[in-house]
Amino acid sequence: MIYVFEGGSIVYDGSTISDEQKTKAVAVEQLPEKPEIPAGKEAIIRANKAEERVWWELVDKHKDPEVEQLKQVVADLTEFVLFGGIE
Amino acid sequence: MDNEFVYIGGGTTRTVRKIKKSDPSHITESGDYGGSIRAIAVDDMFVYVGGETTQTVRKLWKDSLSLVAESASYGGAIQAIVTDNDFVYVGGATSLATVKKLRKSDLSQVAESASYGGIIYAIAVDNEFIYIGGGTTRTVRKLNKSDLSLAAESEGYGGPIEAIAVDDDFVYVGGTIQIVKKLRKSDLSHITESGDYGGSIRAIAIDPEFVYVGGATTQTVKKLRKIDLSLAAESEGYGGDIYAIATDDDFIYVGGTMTRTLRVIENRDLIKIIRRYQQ
Repeated sequence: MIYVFEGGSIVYDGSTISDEQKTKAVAVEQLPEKPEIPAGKEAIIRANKAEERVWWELVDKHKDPEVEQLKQVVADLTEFVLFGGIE
Repeated sequence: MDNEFVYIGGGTTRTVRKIKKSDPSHITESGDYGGSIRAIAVDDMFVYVGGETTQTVRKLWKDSLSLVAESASYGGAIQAIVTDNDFVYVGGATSLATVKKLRKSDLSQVAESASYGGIIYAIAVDNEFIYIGGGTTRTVRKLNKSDLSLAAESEGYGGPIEAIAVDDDFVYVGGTIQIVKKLRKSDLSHITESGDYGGSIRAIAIDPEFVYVGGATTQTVKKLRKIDLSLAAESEGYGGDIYAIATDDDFIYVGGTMTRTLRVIENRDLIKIIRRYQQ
């Protein structure tokens, strides 16, 4: 069995966790098939113990904060080169 | 690394490889992580691996490197992993730039630090605290292991921090300003610093007497005396930027870009290259 916890962690080898831990997870024979993932999205596993349900959810892909900062710097520099500084 | 094996991972191949120290032809390989591997930690039974794209911590059996468990997504590229007896501490490039503390058994999250303020590139651990460093904020923060609350913070390193090592009394910090700074562990005050490495420092390892430093541009391993961080020896060029160094009693193990080899060097004088494991 595979054990999926509500926080999103997955245990593939049940021999490494206690019976008590197993009761907190949703046990499945196999994970549901991952959906097709559109650009800018990623699939994360979800589990609901009360409903004994496991599914994939599509969420926005994480943006690297330093890359985003650099993009902003490049945009600012481009604007400065093309249009000059603020009078 | 443990007594018998070295565990390596990186980009392109995206697997963990386990190489027997005494017999480099003896190699075990994990499945594809799904992105570049940036961090590996090991304990008695398991290997913990993290990196880009997949952004989860995967727990592998040490003997077979087969998958045991996987954490929820860290939320960004994982850059650093350390472990203690019961927990795994993970840092990297989430939008909040936090350290996440995971229970080792099932990799569920038990605590999360406040935001570091920039990408966390390095974590070191001792009995009571973890020490983190990275970009933007550029300080070393000492966090209580229990709840990841802030215990102390150093003055600014001067650039992004990319490597941290700790011993009983001191913290050794390296990064883009190309020097190693030695800080007192208790209050993270500055004690002394090394000369210029000649490029960004990407890896630091320590033994009881020395600090071993590697990185970009210079691409050598420099062996510094712990007491004053003066230069004791220097290896020949690795042939690429150095991203990882590990030590045992007799050797240092060096890995990086371009040559993509695991190089084993006698630690006494850094001259005698014992093996080059082509990967």
